[in-house]
Amino acid sequence: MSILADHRTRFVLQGITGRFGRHYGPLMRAYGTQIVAGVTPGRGGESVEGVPVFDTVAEAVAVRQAEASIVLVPGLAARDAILEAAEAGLRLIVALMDGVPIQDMLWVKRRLRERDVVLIGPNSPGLITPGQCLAGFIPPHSCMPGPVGIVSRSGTLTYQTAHLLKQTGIGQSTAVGIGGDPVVGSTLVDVLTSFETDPDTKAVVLLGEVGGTMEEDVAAFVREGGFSKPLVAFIAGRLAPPDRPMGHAGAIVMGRGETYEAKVEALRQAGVAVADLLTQIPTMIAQRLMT
Amino acid sequence: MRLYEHQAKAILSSHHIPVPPGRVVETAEGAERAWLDLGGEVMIKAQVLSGGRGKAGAVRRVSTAQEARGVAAELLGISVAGLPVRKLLVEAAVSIAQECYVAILTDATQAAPLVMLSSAGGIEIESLAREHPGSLVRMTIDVLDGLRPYHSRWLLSRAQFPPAAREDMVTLLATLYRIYCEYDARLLEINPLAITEQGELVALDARMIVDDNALARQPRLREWRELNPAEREAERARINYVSLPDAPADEGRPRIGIIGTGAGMAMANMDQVAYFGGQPANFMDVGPGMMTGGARTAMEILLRRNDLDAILVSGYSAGPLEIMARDVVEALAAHPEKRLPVVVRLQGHHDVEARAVLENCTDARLHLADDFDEAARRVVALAGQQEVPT
Repeated sequence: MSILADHRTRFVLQGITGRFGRHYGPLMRAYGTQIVAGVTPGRGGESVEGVPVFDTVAEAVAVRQAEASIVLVPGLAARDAILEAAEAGLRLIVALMDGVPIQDMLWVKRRLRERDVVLIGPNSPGLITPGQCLAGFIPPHSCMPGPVGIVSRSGTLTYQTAHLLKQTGIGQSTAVGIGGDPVVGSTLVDVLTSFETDPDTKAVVLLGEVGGTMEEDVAAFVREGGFSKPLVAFIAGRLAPPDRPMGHAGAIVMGRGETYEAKVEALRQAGVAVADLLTQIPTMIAQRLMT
Repeated sequence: MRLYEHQAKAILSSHHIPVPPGRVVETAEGAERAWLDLGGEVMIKAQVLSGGRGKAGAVRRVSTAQEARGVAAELLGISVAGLPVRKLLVEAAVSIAQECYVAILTDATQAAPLVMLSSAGGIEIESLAREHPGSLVRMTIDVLDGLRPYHSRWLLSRAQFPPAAREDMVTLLATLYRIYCEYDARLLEINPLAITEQGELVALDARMIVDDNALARQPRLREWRELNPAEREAERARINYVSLPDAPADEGRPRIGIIGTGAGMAMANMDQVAYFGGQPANFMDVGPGMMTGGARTAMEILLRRNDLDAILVSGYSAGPLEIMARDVVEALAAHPEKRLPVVVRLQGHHDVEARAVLENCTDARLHLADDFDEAARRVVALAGQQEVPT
């Protein structure tokens, strides 16, 4: 078991003929990910290293029974690509590219509310279920199969943390990077909800960042009993220059929070263990796996 | 991207939202000429991307040409919140009957636009929310519907707006929502929005923040950006660079230039360097530009600085790390005069190839580290040593 995707999941790669598609597509396939089709409008009928390319996601679903998508199109084309994948009936969409306008994401999230589909990203490193499938940029050899889930707002910290855990002999069930943009498809709480019911996940590492209120939402979620497994958190950006991209009006909407101190405080009050340094995570997780 | 008050007002005005007649000037003489154009009571407002201008004395009222010239000369010499004043907005003063507040912003938590409205305004919104909590009315908008006139009427009634101004406000709110969408705004705020003694609505101040992700489709706003040369260079190379100001308390700690793959990694590198006693000098994420020489540009930017004691390049990536390694080596070779240690740790998909590139480099300034922790430790230790052999 794992969350979201495994070795059986049939993916379509949207943007398979682009520069990023050509670099990362083979990487994912080499790991065992089932990429059964590609989509690039206008390039239907071609193939990329044996993977058939279609003009539309609907054709990829009809001909190749794709059930999930990896989206690697330019940021301004993301809204269309994600909505197309959702309308074609896919159950999982992993959006990797950056530069997606926030207002496009407002439309995407609003439309996806009407459908039974999980969106990860955009601006995300994707997800990996070690030993089974990789849908994204996560360097596969940073991971190994095991009992710890990772959910992260940062791409590279996901890899670094998986690697640190692996060095201490601790593997991962699934690692998910939710994406670094202000509005993303799945929140930290959404992914924790999936880990809560996954029998193979015994503990979770949460990698947060300054800005936004997602970590505060996690604190509230844990306090209310939504997540009961051992949880170790790390918040990046203790030294980041104070930035309030939304100014005073934003602070009103967000309420308290956003800063490193506020996030750590909220999580600790909810009983979540918070690591001061990334390198402390493996020991903290090991202790909690033993008890 | 934040817009200046005069830029935001130009957008409002081009959509027929009334703003006071005004001129943007850069000299005291310009301010005097503007007064002669406008006449009477005139406001002179420093154009800086910061709040609190009123408290800083950077918004002034004048009534003669001489006064306009004097005040302008004074304001053009000061800084507000560390930002030098280079432009002034000279505007006709408005006879105000009532000051109100209106904003449309993106609420990331709800993933929806949010309208905030108050019939009290003119003070900072946080104080407004504290002092008159009942007067601040909010509504989350469904993007499928947009802000409909009946939404606006409900808001105006809840906020107890003067009835005579309500239908004009309905029109103004619809226009504001259109601007919010058209310009990919994250925040569009008019505070204060004046109701004049003649009963007209006028935007006395305006703030607008635009989504950086959307600048690719906002050519006009892109032209308005003021990037310093290093920032412009970084943007072209698709890397993110933020130079950190000197922290006086940290004098004596070695200043470390930092390059990471990804924003989180860049921040974690900063935290780790500080933990070992170094002072991070910058934030630099080369993730998106790694494939196209981003690391070369990143190194160039840091090597050109003269205030660094060492550079840390520490990343974990599935990207083409061998390109990144080659970029680092080439940048060093291009700057033989720079005598500072550079510690490199690259792990990830192509780390064997990257390592080969780095090991082939005989430059004595280059030091290899095997992991995240060791790299931060090494760079701080090496930076503490005075002379670095070349």
